[in-house]
Order: sequence, then structure tokens, then C-alpha cells
Amino acid sequence: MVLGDLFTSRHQWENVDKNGLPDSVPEVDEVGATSAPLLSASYYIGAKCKPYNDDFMLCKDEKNGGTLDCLKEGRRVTRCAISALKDINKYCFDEFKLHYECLEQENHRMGHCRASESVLNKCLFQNLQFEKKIPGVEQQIHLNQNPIYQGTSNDKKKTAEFVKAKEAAS
Amino acid sequence: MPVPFEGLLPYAIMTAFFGVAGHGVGFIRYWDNGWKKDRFDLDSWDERMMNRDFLLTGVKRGQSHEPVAPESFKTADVKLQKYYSAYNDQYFSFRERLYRGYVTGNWDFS
Repeated sequence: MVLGDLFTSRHQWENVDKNGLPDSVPEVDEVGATSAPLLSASYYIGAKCKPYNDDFMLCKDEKNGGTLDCLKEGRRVTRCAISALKDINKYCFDEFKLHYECLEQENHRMGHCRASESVLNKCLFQNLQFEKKIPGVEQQIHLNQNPIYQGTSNDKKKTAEFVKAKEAAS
Repeated sequence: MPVPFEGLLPYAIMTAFFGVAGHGVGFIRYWDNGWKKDRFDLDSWDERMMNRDFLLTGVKRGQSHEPVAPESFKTADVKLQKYYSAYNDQYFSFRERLYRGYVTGNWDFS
């Protein structure tokens, strides 16, 4: 920025919203997790937040997709997702990280990260009493012991190392 | 009739150079993705989520497990802007850089 300072018409400013929402709409924090952690946590979020999500969808249905009418329900959905992510970060952080890093390497395909997913699901079951259940299918694919796509060797290797390190630590 | 190895040397050289080119580009892509494999077969949802990831982390292919987003994320937005140029980045001329600086405010006198 040499000549740029000479142009007084160019301004820089902080990106802060000065026209906030009215007080009638409650304040809410946004979900800070990115796509891979969200995908990894999605089944837990879905199970934990089912009533809030259903309530939100019902509201959308009744109000004909009204954006302003369902802000309260939407905020509950956001808050619940944040609390679910906090749960996972508190109890199963290492397993969570193992799984979402695998997803990030494998183009976010769950089928290629079953080894780390089973470790994560085990941890979630032990600590948060959550059992992954895919709704509306004949077979729970993540429980299939001999799937067509076996997952990547890298995921299996890293998961084996992780389990070994965990056993050595305990 | 056995083929003398000198006759196969050009093929070895060709194979080696194709290999260097291919693996080299692959390595650069892997590095550019933050030591991750390429994303592919993306639909509009994936594109949206990757844009959101960029707003949250500020780097390409960055990931974050933080439950709560920073305050600035609430109003974060990215707008793609364009300016007309007679030369579409074909020549790195000083004139072009002056024009770009005038339009975008990012002056480059390197």
C-alpha cells in the first residue's frame, strides 16, 4: 500500500453488524465446527436434538416456510447442536478428531472411514449412551462386518495405532 | 533375438519423465490442499460448506472442531468481484498492475 494511502475514498473497516436484530429475537452463538467435524458428529447431533429439529421443521411446515416466524425454534436447534458438539469434544475428542481427519482425507465418504468410525461410536456409546442408528434402512451399513468397500488402509493403520496408543496409556 | 538394452533406454527416459511430471503435479496439489487429498464430485451443498469452512478458518481446506464460532463469523461474507481488463492476466505488465491497483486498491510495485 504505497499509493493506496493517497486515495482518501478507500476505507477499511471491521466487519461488525451495527444493525442488530431486535431484542424480541434472542441472541445465539453460531456453530463453529466446519464440514468434516459436523459430518462426523451428525448422527449424534441428530439423535440428541431430534425434538428441537422436529419442532423446527413442523414450524416451517405450519408457517409456510416462514423465516421470521421460526427464529425461536431455529435458535434452539443451533444451541442444541452446539451443546452436542461440546459433549463430543469433552468426552471423545481424540476419537472425534481421528474420524473427521479421515473424512477430510477421503472426500467426506463415510464408507471409507469405518475403522475410525467404529472407534468413535464405541466411545460415544460408553460415555454418552449413544448408539448410531441410520433411520429408514433395512441394514445398518456401519455394522456390516464385510462391506463391499473395505475402507482405506491408511484409516485402518491410523486407527490401529490409535487403539494401541490408547491401550498403552491405560 | 534379444533386444540390446541401449534400444530400450529412450523408453526408460520417457517413462521416467512422465512419472516425474505426474507425481510432481500430484504432490503440489496435495501440498496446496494442506496435505490433504483433493475433494471431488462436489455438489452445491459441498461447495457451500467449503465456503463456510473458509469463513470459519480463513485457510483453504481448514477444519475446526470448535463448537462456538467467533463473533465475527455472524456477519462474515465473501463477495466475488471482477473488473474489466483488456488483457485477461495474460501479460504481467506494469500498466496492468497499475490498473489492478486502481480498481482493487491493492497496489503492487514490486
